[in-house]
Amino acid sequence: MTMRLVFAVATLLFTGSSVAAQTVTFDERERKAILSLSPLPAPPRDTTNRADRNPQAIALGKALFSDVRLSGNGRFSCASCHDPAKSWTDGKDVAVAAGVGSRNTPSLWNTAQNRWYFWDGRADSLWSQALKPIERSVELNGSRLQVAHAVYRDPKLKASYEQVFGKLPALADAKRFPASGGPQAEDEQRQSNWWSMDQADRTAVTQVFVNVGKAIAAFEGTIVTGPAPFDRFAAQLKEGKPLTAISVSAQRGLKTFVGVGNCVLCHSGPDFTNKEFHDIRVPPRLAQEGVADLGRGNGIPLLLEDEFIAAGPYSDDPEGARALHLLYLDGEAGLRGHFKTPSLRNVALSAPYMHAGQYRTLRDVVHHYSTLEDAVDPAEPSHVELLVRPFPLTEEQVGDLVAFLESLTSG
Amino acid sequence: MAAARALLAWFALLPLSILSMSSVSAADLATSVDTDGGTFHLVLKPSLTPTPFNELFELQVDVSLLKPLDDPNPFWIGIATTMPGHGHGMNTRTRIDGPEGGRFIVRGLLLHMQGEWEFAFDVAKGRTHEKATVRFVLE
Repeated sequence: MTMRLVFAVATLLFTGSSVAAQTVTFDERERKAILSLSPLPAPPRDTTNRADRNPQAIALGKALFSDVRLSGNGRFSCASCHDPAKSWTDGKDVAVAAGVGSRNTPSLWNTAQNRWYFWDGRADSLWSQALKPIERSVELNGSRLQVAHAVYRDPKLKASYEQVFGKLPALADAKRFPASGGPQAEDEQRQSNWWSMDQADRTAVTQVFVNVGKAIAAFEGTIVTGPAPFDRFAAQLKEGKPLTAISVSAQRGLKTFVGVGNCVLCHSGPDFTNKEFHDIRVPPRLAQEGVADLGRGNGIPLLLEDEFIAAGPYSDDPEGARALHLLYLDGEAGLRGHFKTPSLRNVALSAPYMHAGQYRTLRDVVHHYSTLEDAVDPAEPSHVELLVRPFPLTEEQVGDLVAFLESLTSG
Repeated sequence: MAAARALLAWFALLPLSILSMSSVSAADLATSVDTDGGTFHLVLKPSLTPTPFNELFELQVDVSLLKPLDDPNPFWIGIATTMPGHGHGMNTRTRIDGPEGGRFIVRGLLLHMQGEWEFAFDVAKGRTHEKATVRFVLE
């Protein structure tokens, strides 16, 4: 009896001390920071896209998203790089389609939450972004005439398009509307085809092209993450319930994320991004050594000359909230070498990481931030991020931070 | 004698007090500050309260004189916005409308990171040109 009692007390003491050692506590500052990260609200309506949230447009956009007829050789679609089976990206360092790109394919999770699109922010709306890869020679290498014809000649697509956007132009007239062509084409024939058309016909075809982008964007706006274990944890924290939704290791990682790691300063808000641009001194890909990717430094001039800008003639709200941001762009803010902060929702599913896929795993990413062993000098010395500085982490602490990032994965 | 010493001390410390009032640490941008030469007083009123994080907003700046200034020129202000601990400022370029009387509207402010921000003001009226600083922590 006595031995049993001693054994029971010893067990209780041992278990109790283990539990006590496992508990992670958060102070008021940490609690406030954590609660600012959840829940993820619905994105604001995109008033530049009249098809946003339109069910028929969403269905049309979903069909177009996987349609290889939008590409020059009939082999690629948006889904080629934004593969739903690969977390809406492609698992590659850089995009490969008609050619080899220079940047990592961003995942489309919660893409409608963005303020700017692409790593360099050269598009200011989702529909504008959707159009760029179609005509880019290393991506789909298609053309707007080809896209318009693809919709026109397919009875289902034509009916679906006209239900949302109204009657298509009379594209059957092959003399007026050549089979392919557009102002972005790199080959002479497609350029010649385009500029041989009447101005009114060029505008009509461009409007069809824009509407295709708006339908695709309406579909992409439905690609949203569900609640992740972290969100359930944040709710427990808010309600004063036992903190069981994420592991103790992930909780320690979260403490680093909102504390000494300073991760939350750029990966802020419920989508874990401040949607702006930073230079975190990531080295270039070896293949591009010597060729500087200026990121936002190039993105702003490209945006300002874009015909599909939010303040432009194809926008359905040229004086609205998205257009307002354009008034205050600063091309001289020293944003060379700056890239957009990506969202961390479902980040564990979208390796490799950084703007050219420089890091294979989340551990590699954490190692970069923790040690800066491979960091390059800031591209713009007048606009640095001094908070990017080494903060030593043990292997266990690296594992904790990775565990937290994995807790952002929703089913 | 004691009164004279006290008066002397007051005059000696007066510039220091003016300097400290020209640099204000505030809980929010909705505050006021005097310039370092003691000529101008600024009252700041952001268009959104509390000062928003990562959202475009405007700042109304009302400039008035703390002492007579015989100069017919209008008021003028300039503004530089930085995060001293980060080594950078905003990613936006502000536009300043005004003055209407002494009122300016600074447009295009977007504070994209939480932490300490510094708003450095240049204020002028003709040949008189002074500075003021407001620091606050955006949460």
